[in-house]
Amino acid sequence: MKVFRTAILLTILAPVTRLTAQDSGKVVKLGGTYGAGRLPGIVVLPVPGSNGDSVRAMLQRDLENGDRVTIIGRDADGLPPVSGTPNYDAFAQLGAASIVQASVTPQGELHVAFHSVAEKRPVQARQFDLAGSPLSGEWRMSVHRAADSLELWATGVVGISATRIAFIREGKVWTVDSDGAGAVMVEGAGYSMSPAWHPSGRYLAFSTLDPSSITMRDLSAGTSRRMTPVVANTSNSAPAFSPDGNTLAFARATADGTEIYLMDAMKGGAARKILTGREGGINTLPSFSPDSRQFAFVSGRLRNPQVYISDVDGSNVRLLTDEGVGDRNYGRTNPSWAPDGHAIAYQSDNENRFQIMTISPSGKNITVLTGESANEHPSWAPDSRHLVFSSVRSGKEQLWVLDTEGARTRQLTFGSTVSKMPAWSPQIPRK
Amino acid sequence: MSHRRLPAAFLAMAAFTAACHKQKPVTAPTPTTTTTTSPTIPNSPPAPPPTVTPRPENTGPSAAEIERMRAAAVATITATIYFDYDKSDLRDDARSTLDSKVPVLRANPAVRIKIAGHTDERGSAEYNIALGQRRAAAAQRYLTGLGIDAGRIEIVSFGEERPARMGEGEEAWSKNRRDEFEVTAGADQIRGARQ
Repeated sequence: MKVFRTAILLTILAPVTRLTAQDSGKVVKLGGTYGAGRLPGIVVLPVPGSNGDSVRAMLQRDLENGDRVTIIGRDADGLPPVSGTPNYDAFAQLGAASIVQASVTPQGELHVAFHSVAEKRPVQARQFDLAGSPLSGEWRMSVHRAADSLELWATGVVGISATRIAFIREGKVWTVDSDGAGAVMVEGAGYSMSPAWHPSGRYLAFSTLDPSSITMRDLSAGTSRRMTPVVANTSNSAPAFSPDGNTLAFARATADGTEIYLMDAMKGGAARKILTGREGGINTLPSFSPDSRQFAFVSGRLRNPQVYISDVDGSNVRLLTDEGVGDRNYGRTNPSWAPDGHAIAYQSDNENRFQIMTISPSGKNITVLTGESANEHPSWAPDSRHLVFSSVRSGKEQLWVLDTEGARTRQLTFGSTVSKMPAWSPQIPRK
Repeated sequence: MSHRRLPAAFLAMAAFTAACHKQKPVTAPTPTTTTTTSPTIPNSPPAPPPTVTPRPENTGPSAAEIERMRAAAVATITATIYFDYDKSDLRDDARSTLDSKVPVLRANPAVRIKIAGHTDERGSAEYNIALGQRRAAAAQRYLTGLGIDAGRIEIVSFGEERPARMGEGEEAWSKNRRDEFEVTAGADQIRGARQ
């Protein structure tokens, strides 16, 4: 197993930086450490009411997974008891900038008061409906929505807890909540690959083999719809939705090569071929820009697969990733364009192992995010800061989450069954 | 057609199925045995009895021989071809294997086949769907170039999703970069190239 020693050294020692490359060929390693004093401290008080312990544990875990706050007093031992108004000075001594005071009402709602320690008063109060039966998937998603509001109040940025990651396990489409709980099979028919979320959070597209088609599943209705006809000698793969929700892109392989096709995501109908160059090659893996007017894609037109950018009509095609140094047989593939547009994540064959990297659309800022083991298939969270990807670093291919600003990673799926091809959802809509 | 040395198995198949000019059907190679007794030598052990039943004249091949020919023809049609990494070009050994399928396909016009392209596990899984399709298309194009009707050949791709060999390393990977051939129609009527 090849190890990227330089990257590991920087990861351990360097403070958090994002450096600008001097020229497009220069690759910069990401390093980062977390200091407890750098992130605002937040206390989540014990939560009275039914399943209050579970609520508290979920809120704390969600806030930690956002990587923007530090949890103070996780075990609740040593926290000043609170009846009525908190003793703000005591909490300030503990390093808390905010206090979350929540309770589950007898009606099964989550009442939350959010205190500013500096201002010595509650600054937000809200009631969150807890849908579904306690501890069910819908109930947990309601608690995650509350956590995302807490994140917004504490940091100014909406959290990503009320989201799911779709992935493939043994040829079937699964989803798992952002905190790793609630893994469930979504679609069990056929052999599926490459799930992709519609921006509404309501639909999942994926490809099937034998027969090959692009299928779109309505998660609310629990129904699936084949978007492409089954045609002999044709393989359809790598679906992706445009951020405006109107277009479904995918790759179609025939005897004449593989090209990117676009179709109406909602109405269906015939797909139209988008020529991004001479026919006869391989062009696949589209990923749309935030304004839905361009897509990044992978082409084998040079010696090895590389990432390109094209207008949606196939014009203005340009190479984004250069060939680089060394014999990168498997090239650069699987681009994922961040929702805020600041970077495109992809996997790069570095010393015969795929690693996760990001590059700005201009091609100038290049960052290596992983250096150990083999890592593939990056997909951005809605905050354009966290990435989910698959890695074999634990021994079996599983899903991991990476904070691109601090380099912290956490394992999302576990066990002896392989999980791969992750896709991070937008905010999950209420049912 | 390549004149390079063919593996023995293919040689046997080619000899067996090629449009040959022999008058009689050729069976699979058997140990050479004659039906005449050896000359009597003092103190030598008696000649062993013949191990092959004398071939009947003018009554055609036996049912067992027909089945052997059929099985050999199926084996020829379904023989796998292999590729170099990240390539869909046909190697010489792949061409030879494809060449041997042609006379059997010609002799059995009802037979239809499906060519499935596969890759090893390296590379992007989605990219490998495209590469597998390209490998299947390369074999299809070669066969149609030799006169086999394109309508008899279907191509599919499984990318890296159905490995023949698990594990890492070139030993396994080289066995996964392949086209597999499956008979999808006319299987029960397959005959050798000449009966």
